[in-house]
Amino acid sequence: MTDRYKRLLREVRECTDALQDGGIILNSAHEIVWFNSAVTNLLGLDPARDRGQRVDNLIRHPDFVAYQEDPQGEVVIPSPRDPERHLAIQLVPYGKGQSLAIIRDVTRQIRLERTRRDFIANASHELRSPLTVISGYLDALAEGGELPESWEAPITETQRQVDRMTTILSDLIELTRLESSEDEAEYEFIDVRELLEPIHAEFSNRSKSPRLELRLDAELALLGNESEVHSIFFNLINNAVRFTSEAGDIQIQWRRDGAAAVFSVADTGIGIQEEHLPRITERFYRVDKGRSRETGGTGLGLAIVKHALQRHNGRLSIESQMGKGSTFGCHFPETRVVSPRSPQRVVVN
Amino acid sequence: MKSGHATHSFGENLESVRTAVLNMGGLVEEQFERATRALSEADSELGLQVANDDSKVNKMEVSIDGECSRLLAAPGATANDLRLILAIIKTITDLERIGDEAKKMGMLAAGLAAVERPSTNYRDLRNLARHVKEMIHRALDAFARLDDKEALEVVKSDDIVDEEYETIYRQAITFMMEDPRTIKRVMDITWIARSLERIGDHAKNICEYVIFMVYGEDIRHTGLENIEAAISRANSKQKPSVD
Repeated sequence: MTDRYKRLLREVRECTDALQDGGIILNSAHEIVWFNSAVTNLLGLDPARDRGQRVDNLIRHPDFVAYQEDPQGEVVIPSPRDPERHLAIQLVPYGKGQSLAIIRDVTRQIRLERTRRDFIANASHELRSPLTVISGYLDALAEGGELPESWEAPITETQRQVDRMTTILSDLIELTRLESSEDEAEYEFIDVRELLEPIHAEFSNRSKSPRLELRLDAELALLGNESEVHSIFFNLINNAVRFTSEAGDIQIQWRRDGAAAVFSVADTGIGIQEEHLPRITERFYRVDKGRSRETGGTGLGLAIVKHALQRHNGRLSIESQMGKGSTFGCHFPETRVVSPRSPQRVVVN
Repeated sequence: MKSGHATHSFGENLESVRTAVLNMGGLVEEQFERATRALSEADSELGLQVANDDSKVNKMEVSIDGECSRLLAAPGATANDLRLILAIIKTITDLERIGDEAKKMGMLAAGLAAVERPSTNYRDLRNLARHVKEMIHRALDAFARLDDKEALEVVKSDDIVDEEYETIYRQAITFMMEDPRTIKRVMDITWIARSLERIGDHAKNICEYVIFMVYGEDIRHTGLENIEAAISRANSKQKPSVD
């Protein structure tokens, strides 16, 4: 009987040692109980000495220490043995407070991701300068009045398309910038009213706009990066305007939600089918191939909103009903909100 | 039974302070890593961020210091415990200083990001920084594992850092004499090298506290031969138990 267990145990050990990924078993006090041999290679733990040691005594990276307090998803840190290598660590809780840490080498993925980002950033920059030249000549042609009348329509259309390409490129550049800045946004004071009113006025003055109503709590201010917050507001309002008919209504709100704050845009537009909602913030994702291109979207607006919000520790909520309209909400946490009134008063309100 | 419980929780508290020291060490390592990256990638924003984040390190020092005062006043500490607490109080001072040096490096790197870079992109400095980073990392590992052998190795490796610093310093003088227009930049580089050298010394100090914790002998300022002699003397006696 004991022989059978010994054999079984040996087999389990041989098997776990053959794994490429690292595994560490931790007890409820975060002390190392056991790990396989991949961990020695990935993290530099010593099987002869490190059992019983608290895991964050040896894996000391601040990101891991913070993740350990509140393990959600996974954390990526440079390997303590070689800063060029990146490791993704995931803590899986089980039993009575024990947990299993799974460690994967993600150096290749991270490098690929970086290459992709650099490529998009470089390509967008390179494409922008020839576009500026084209658009300059087009403007000269359109204003010159030397061309036969039959050329007027093609030139206008070309101008429109060049404008569109310029918007796509600047959106792409903006998005890559947001993606590559991993840290959270700064905490600069933003007067939301001063930011929102000009955007509201800009859209209201357009000839074919639906009715836009703006309701805001002028005392409620935000801490963040002004240009990114501007992007969030502008893109959401722009989307609402594009998908709502002239007879429709758009409600823009900036209000408290307990100690937190919400910016929301509700329209009475065409709505989005439920199956599209999970993917709608992906770049270039189109709900309907035809319609958004007609209305001049770049396909990047929501991706920008999502990333900019993430940098502000915020969350995007989407509710939509076909034919009735959609509501997009940006939820900013308490740490990002400044309000002169005391929290008690807010609850009463 | 009751007193048994009390000593048990003393041990637990001590252990959690030890972990806090190592977490502080992790933060300092990261600060150092980012300061170095700010230099090599000419990232002025990152450099200023490092300078800004130094307050986190300072806060941790204050909090650990408070914990140690409480532990010193608590009953039930053994000689070993007291040695550990003493070593912790000293270690966090050195860690805080490393944080200060990283802050200086970050500010200098932010300034250097704006000026012309040498074709080597500060290869000498980056090499020195790599050695120093390894020293900090190994010192903290030795602290976690109470590993006197590793600690001694780190103490020894400080000589290499000192030599590299000396080389950079001499080179800097030559540069400044050749072309006085470079003086401002080269001075900044020398300051960074100086910070790196100081950080190496702080890592070395931490290792000396580790040896003190393990053997109970103060080996500071005694020279390498004496340190080794002290260790072998202590080994021939009974090594005091660590746990």
